[in-house]
Amino acid sequence: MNLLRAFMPRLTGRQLAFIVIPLTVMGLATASAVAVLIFLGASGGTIRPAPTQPIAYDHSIHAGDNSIACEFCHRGVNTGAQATLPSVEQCMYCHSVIGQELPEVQLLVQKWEDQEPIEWSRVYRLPDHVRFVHSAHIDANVSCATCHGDVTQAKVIKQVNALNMGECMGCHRDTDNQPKSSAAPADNVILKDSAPLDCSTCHK
Amino acid sequence: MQLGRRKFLAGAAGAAGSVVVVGCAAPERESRVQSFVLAPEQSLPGDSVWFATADAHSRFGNSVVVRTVDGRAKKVEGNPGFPINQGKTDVRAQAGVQSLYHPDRIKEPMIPAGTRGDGRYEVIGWERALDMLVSKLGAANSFQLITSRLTGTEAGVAAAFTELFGGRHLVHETVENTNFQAAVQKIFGASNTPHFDIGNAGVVLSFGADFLGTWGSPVMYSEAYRQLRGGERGRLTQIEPRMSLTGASADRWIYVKPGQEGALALSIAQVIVAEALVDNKIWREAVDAIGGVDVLNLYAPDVVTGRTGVPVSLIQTIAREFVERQPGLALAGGPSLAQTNGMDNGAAALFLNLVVGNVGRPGGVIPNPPAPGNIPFPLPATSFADWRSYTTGLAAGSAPDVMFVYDADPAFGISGTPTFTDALAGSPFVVGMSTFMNETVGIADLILPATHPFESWGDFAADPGPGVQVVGYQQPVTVTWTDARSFGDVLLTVAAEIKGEGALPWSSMHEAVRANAEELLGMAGTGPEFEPTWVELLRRGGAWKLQNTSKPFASVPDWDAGAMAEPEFAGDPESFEFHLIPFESVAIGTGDESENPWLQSVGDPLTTMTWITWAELNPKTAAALGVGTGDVVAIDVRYGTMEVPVFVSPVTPPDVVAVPVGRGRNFGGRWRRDRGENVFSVIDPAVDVKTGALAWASSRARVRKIGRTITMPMLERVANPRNDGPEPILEVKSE
Repeated sequence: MNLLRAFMPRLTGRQLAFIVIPLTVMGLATASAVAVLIFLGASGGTIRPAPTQPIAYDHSIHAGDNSIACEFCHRGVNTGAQATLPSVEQCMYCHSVIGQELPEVQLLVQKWEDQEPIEWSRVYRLPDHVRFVHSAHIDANVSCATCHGDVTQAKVIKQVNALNMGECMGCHRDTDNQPKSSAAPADNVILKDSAPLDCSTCHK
Repeated sequence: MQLGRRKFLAGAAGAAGSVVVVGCAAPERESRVQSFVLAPEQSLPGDSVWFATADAHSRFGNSVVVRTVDGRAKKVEGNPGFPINQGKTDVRAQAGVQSLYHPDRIKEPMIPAGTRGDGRYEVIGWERALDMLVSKLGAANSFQLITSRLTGTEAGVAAAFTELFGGRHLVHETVENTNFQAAVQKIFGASNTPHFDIGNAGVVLSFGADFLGTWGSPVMYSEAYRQLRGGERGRLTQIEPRMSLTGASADRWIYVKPGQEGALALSIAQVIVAEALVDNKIWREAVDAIGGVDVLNLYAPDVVTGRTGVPVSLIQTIAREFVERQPGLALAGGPSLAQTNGMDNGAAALFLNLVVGNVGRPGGVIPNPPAPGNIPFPLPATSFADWRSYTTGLAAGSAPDVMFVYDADPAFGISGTPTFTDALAGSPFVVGMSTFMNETVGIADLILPATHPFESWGDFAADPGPGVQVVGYQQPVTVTWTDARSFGDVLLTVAAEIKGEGALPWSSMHEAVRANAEELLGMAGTGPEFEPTWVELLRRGGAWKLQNTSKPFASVPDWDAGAMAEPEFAGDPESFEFHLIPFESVAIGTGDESENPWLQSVGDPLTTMTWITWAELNPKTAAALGVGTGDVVAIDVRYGTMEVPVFVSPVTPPDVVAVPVGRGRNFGGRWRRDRGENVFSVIDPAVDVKTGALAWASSRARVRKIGRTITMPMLERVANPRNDGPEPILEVKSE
């Protein structure tokens, strides 16, 4: 205040307060916003509502009623970073004969005839600085439902876990879920062959 | 409204909160994700998948691995296990990705929208295109197929198709190799290219063969050159009328008067024999076969020094060095063989290998096994003399009912009158199939888009090979983004439509290539049992170390040195004082890849010139003409005139004007058309007197200053080829 008063001697204390207080508040708000952004970025965000999809695909019919394995459609899940979406051609393996009278299947058939891709809306999305590899988790016998919930009952697929850093760490620290090494000492929380906790395992 | 302190603070806090909320939301577009319509085979999103396949721009023996991501080709590298290029590539192989995704590719079948060749086209679908082709060919009484030097199964399918329809197959090659093949036949009795073991040689004597740039298999020879120079350093002497990349790398570069290369080679042989530098048991039989010592004595150094322009002492030095630093290896190619006595020049040069007994041993000339019967070497080109008479016949009315031109451009490369374009005017129905538009396809009645090599099946037998049989495979690394089809598949479809299923033994190129692979490995007809082997073949990119069935060379040459022809030149030396020496530049070569801006902008190794055609002149000659680098001159040849800018080069001989081939296109995409001049359109249509090959370096020329100067697109000194100057050269955008 005294410094400002030296530069602006004609202003009253009340007038100076009108300048200083808003500036302080805005500075604090900006710092808070940055902190929140960093937190949200690091945590993977919150549970988002189910997006609207171009075709109302029903997981409960496919994975539930017809017991189609997740890997049948999400073919990259065992071998790569991404679970991958099935190609239109792959949907047509079955729907060239099944359910052609259904309006949602007709949307699919139209895409196939037009040879156009389907533009889905993502349900799950991790921050860009996170490296997540599906196949590593499948190899460690982590079931799809651990992160994605029981999709056999889901008519509309939506996010069921926030997938923030805390949730990742919960599993990575939980040695009960990990393959055990018989030689591992009992008092060692992080077993030799459990999920790694190094920052660089998940952070790019 | 009066703004109180509390209201102000509340507003400020709200604004800050909005900033936080807006900042947290990801852009909507980032939440969208598309599924493939057709998922690329073996592809995982974001992961690289590597496919071994044939080098897109080399028909003669390189294999590459192409990195694909999400089904799209991203990068080309050499196939590390392949014995020809051994993991290396050249600039053309690297540019394969750009030609694959080139926006100027022919994308759909088309017919002329106006008159033939006026450059306007109407797109038609494949159904209509095939209907046209089937109806025309089904009713045709005569059929002719014109292609480039097809290789492997594709050549086999083309041959079977031509035979089925009783047609004739002509093979066009812009810079003809006929004389080299004829010389090899004469000296070694071999019908395929031998292995020149440069890597293990002590001294290499190359008569015009730019083996580091454009001759034979430059990637393989470049690796051999590394071996030559490693360890006990081998020597390289290059003899040619225009300094090539190999010449620039040589220990000694010698200018020999054009057409006198054979005389110089025999003179070297004469020194070796006369000075008894080699035991006469080694050379006696070979020398007797070509006419004896008496004939060689006609080429003694003091006799030929005048006509070759090479001093006596230098001829003697070369001869002695050739023997002292054994094994001595002699090669021939390029402009030395593009004379009216080109075959004789080549034979005389290759004969030196026999004089020093450097045949069938490391560091020498080693026989290559023949191609596997079902996977032929690149087809030999139809000689220029035959092309000339064919063109004249076309103009006179002997055109076939259907002419099918694939991946060849005789309208660009055949000099003389009538031009191929004019001769084609009377042809009732011309089909042109190519990946890119060219002069011949542009004037066709039906234009078909051909797949890029990265999109189709094929195979090749490496020529030249490394002394063993090497077969490479070409597999699709990506699905075509155009509506193109493979040439072989179109032929097989048309044959089945007209002659019925089973008219040819295969239904697709994939089936044909696989069937030939089964036969190659002695597993014909094994079907599913062959599958693991087939997958392994594709993974490796080919098969080699196959059974070596090389036939030994003939014991003596079948060539008469006494009948060696003297060179003849078009134009008298008084009026046309320069030898016009066309040459291939490393990047765009004969111009087949002039579509490609990457290759257009790769500087010629000696001049750094890009994008245009130029004329290399000696500094003294240029000074006498009053021109410097960038000044445009007219080059008058007996058959025409071209205007090109001068590049003053201290290594250009005073009586030579050297001009690169490959540019000066009238048809094609934005980076091909109207750039530079076509030297083949003005050269004299003279041929080798013994083989009929085009003597493309036998023209004489006059050079005139015309008082115009341009900014030269070169990497040094004058202009800026990076395209940020006042006149942009290159603008890359899709249509």
